[in-house]
Amino acid sequence: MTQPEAERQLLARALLAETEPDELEFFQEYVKAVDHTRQGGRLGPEWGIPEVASVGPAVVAVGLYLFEVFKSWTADVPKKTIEGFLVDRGKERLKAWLGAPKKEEMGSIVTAKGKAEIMSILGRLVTEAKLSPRDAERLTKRVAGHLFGVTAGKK
Amino acid sequence: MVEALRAESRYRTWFATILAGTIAVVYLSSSFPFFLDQLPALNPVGHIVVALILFTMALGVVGTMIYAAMEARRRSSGLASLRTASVRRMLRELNGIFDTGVVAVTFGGMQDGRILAMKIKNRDVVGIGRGALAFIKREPTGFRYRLAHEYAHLAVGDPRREQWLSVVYATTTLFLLIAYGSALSNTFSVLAGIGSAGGWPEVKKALLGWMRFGLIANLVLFGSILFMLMLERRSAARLREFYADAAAAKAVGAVEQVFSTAAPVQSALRRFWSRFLALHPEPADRAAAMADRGTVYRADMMLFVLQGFFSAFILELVLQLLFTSASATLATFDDRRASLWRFLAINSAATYGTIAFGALLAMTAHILVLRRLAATVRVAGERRERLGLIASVPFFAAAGAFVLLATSEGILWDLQQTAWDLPRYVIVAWDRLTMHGVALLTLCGVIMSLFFLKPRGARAIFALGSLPVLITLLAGYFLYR
Repeated sequence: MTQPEAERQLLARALLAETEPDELEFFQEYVKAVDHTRQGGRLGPEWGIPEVASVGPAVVAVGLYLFEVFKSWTADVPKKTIEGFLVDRGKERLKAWLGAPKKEEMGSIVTAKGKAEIMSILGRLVTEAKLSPRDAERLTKRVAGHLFGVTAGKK
Repeated sequence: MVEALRAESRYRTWFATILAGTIAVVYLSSSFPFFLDQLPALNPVGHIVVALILFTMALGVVGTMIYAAMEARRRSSGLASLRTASVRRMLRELNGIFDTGVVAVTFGGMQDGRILAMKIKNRDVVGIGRGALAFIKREPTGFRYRLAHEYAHLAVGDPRREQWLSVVYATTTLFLLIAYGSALSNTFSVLAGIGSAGGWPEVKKALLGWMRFGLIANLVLFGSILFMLMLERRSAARLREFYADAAAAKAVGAVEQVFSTAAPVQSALRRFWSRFLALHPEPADRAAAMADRGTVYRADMMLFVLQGFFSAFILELVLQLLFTSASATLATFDDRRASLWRFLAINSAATYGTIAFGALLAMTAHILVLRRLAATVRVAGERRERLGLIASVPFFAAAGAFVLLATSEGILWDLQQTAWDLPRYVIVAWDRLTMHGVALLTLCGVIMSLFFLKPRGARAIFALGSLPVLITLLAGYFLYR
């Protein structure tokens, strides 16, 4: 795995460790799952009972997507695009945070508007993951808790 | 148990192959009798032999295409070897139980929660969708049961047989569509001629007049055959799932929570689909089958329908080949008898050959079905289960024979000639109907006796399978001598 690739996965790995620590052994498979969007045809006799989507792959998808969003905030983009999302010197701090995404630090890097933006993106990603309402709520609380230190739902 | 299921799966595959192949060959040869008449020495079955050769060649071509499509599907599904600690541990345990060397792969995206069995080259493989990996940790016991279910498919040889049957059914469908296409093409070329001579009013008159019967009869005929083949394929697939569940329960113990026992509220169409056309039984039925094996055997009734259908199909084919004046409304019983003896005098080898071929084909189909049922009987220990099966044999086998006769173009034509007067048709076609009746009754008799006698040896099943054919031949001899 290349260095940028490893860095890209840091946040996702941290979120999975926070949400479903038992599933860390499948982390690399979950990363592949995010990149694989096509639903293939029949490959052989199947178990036949569709299972509801699970939190593990969804949380990795969220982590990878948020990394790209944050990275875009640190890039040389017109100020207007991210105006009001970051605190003073937030860009540099966010860049450092992406290299070591410590728990609950994001709250001090983004403004209330930035936090609302992140929560809105998170809400959309959770909806797309088609989780059960209970799992969707748990995932949202855990990710928000990891990023901002908001009271996290118990597992 | 796995040995009995493997035998059942093997006989089911052979039977389906013979059934689908015979139907495809017969309809293709009867659609192009002159074009395929390349072996005049074998008449009246020369064109059938050529169609059989074509079918065998087509199997190779279709097989290659399906194999290539499967390879493309595997590549696009992102298959990757799965060797994490928990998976390795579970596989090691199941490989020990089933005495196999199965490996695991993962595939698909985060929404792909499938678990399946595959044969890749010569390796037995279980595939776990990336969306299903979480269940290894969340429900280890349930997941182990799911894997054992796939192991049962692999131990029985289902993936390979499914691939083979896909090739056979796809080739059969292709042949049937060609045959139907040729019937339509003939109709439209005649219509074009009528149109160029008399214009649209004449075309309309022909379409709504004398052509209407042929168009509907062809649609009913080909539609019913394709539908029957689909019913059998789906019925066998559902039965296979019940068996894999049972084998998994025997290997690792039943895990009730893997099936939801709540029967969902469904529309009539949806209920019809899940009862007859779905690839998997409803989870509630699978849960019920754990306790009541009768649920499993009820899924197998299609076999009796199909056997009744195929037995009548072979008999009808032989009768059509033996009588030039086969149509009941164009010939009397005496005409048909005279036609048979004339054939015997002109080309006794081909005529006796046709009878012998039909008899051997029917006998093979009977023996395969009886062997398959013998495997089922070995698993169905309870008397109540066997009685349930016995009681349903005549009804379902008769339904199959009825479907064949009711959709036969020849019989529909004769009925139309008698202005749909069934008693009149029975009076003129009594000999043919008697033959069908004898064949059906003896077939039902031997299937029902199988459940009482429970024969195990190949000889006993061979003797039972030969009986309906020998009795039908005897009936034919006494009828037309």
